Amino acid sequence: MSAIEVFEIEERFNPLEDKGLDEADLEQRSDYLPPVPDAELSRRVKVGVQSPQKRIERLLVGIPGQQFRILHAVRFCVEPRTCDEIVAEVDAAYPREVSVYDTAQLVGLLEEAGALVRQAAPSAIRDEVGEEVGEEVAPDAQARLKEQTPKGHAEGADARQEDEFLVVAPTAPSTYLATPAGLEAVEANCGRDVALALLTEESRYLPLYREILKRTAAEGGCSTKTLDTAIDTNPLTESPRRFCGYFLDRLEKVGAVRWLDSWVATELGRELLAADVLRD
Amino acid sequence: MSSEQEITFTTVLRGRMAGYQLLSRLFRTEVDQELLDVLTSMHYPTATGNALVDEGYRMIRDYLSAADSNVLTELAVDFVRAFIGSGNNGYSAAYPYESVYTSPKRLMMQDARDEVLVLYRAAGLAKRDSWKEGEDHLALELEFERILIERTLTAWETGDEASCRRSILQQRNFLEDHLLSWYPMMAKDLKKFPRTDFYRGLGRLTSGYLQNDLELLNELLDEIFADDATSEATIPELAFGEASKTAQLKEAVRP
Repeated sequence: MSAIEVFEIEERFNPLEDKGLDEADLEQRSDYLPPVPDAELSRRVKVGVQSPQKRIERLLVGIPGQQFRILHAVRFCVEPRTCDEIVAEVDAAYPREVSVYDTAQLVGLLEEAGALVRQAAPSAIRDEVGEEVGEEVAPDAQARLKEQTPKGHAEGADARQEDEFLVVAPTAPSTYLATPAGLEAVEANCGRDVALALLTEESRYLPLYREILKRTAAEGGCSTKTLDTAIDTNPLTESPRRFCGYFLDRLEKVGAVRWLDSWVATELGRELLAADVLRD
Repeated sequence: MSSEQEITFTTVLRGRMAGYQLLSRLFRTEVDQELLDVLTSMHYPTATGNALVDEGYRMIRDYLSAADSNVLTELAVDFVRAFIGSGNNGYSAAYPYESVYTSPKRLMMQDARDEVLVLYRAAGLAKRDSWKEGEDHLALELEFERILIERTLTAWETGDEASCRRSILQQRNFLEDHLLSWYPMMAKDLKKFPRTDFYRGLGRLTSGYLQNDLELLNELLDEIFADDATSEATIPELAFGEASKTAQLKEAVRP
């Protein structure tokens, strides 16, 4: 007995009859959506526009320990400088910096933050008259082919002979110039006044700052151990208990000392040492 | 067909291969120094007859002309911005996958991926283990076209016109059914997400290039490789007709 004889095939059988669904419902309930050109749904996330001052501040805070290196690039750009010049200058000034951001990347970040502005070099882009396109076809063959060219193609063929090609010409590199906001950031973070203000904030510790700067200003700088010994035993550090690291940290933050295999007073540190406020 | 005209057709095929190879490479990974050297030594045509191609080339050339020493980093960042994005809603980048643009929820690895996988397998191709993305990635689809062109070239050089026609038909069908069925949508996204003119230009260039190529393939099939278009009288004339059009493609990729 075959299956056909067992089951009756009902031609008008509607499996959805009991469900009370008609075709219109089915269309609506379908999971399938035809592909639609939904490019208008793709949107770049709009980030709130912040002032350059805010953006620069965020940049400096976001790369801790690198603020002087970053701002050195800005200070160097009081005159227009190329990226290569900035890289050479900053890398020479901070040869031992360890950062995931190389100087060229920092330049990009500073531009994005609004501390530097990029100035395109005068356009040296040149348009070259192109060579004939059929360079792999013998000239006589080209001539023959041209004669055979249908009218519809003649225009294009003629145009090819006069085509111009653009080349990526070695242009003068664009330059970067510090913006007012960038220079403000330099002043706010690296200025002598800022350093003095920070030092005099806790004027009772001025003798300690003087001691540290004096030792670090010596030839070859001063080791951490020597500084610890000299500072940690000072009665001024007893209450509240402070350690040498606290003072070094503050001096480093204002750019008065740097770590170059030993603690070394910077130019600013030497200036501070000579300032009235720190004089014996 | 005379030898000169054969050379022209061969040159056109080689030009198309190089074109697809370049586009595939540009979409596959970030630009590296080797590719940058190629790009900076290229001649960029200004009058290919397709406004999108011209504009794309101009934008890429202008960008590279003004590029700084950190160009590779800038392009790498923009590559991520353009093709990967930072959102998870499916609308945060120009995702280079056919599935994303042809599935209702913009998901990867959907039907489109299965379809192209079948086509690759039918063509005797398997992806390398090093390729970790979906097979419907734009770079792979462009690479597939390049391989088909290479096969056409081989068939043409061995005088196998039937295989040649079949291969060109495959190229046309794949271009129509896949690349051109979704890339225009991605091209719209490529106007929004990249910040550099390099990738914006690449979007336009690819649009124009694919359009041009479809026109070329249609003409080849209708005129040169049509079943009845085999007479000595028609082929040479039409062959140059193609040559003049495809010369745009050849010029476009001439290093």
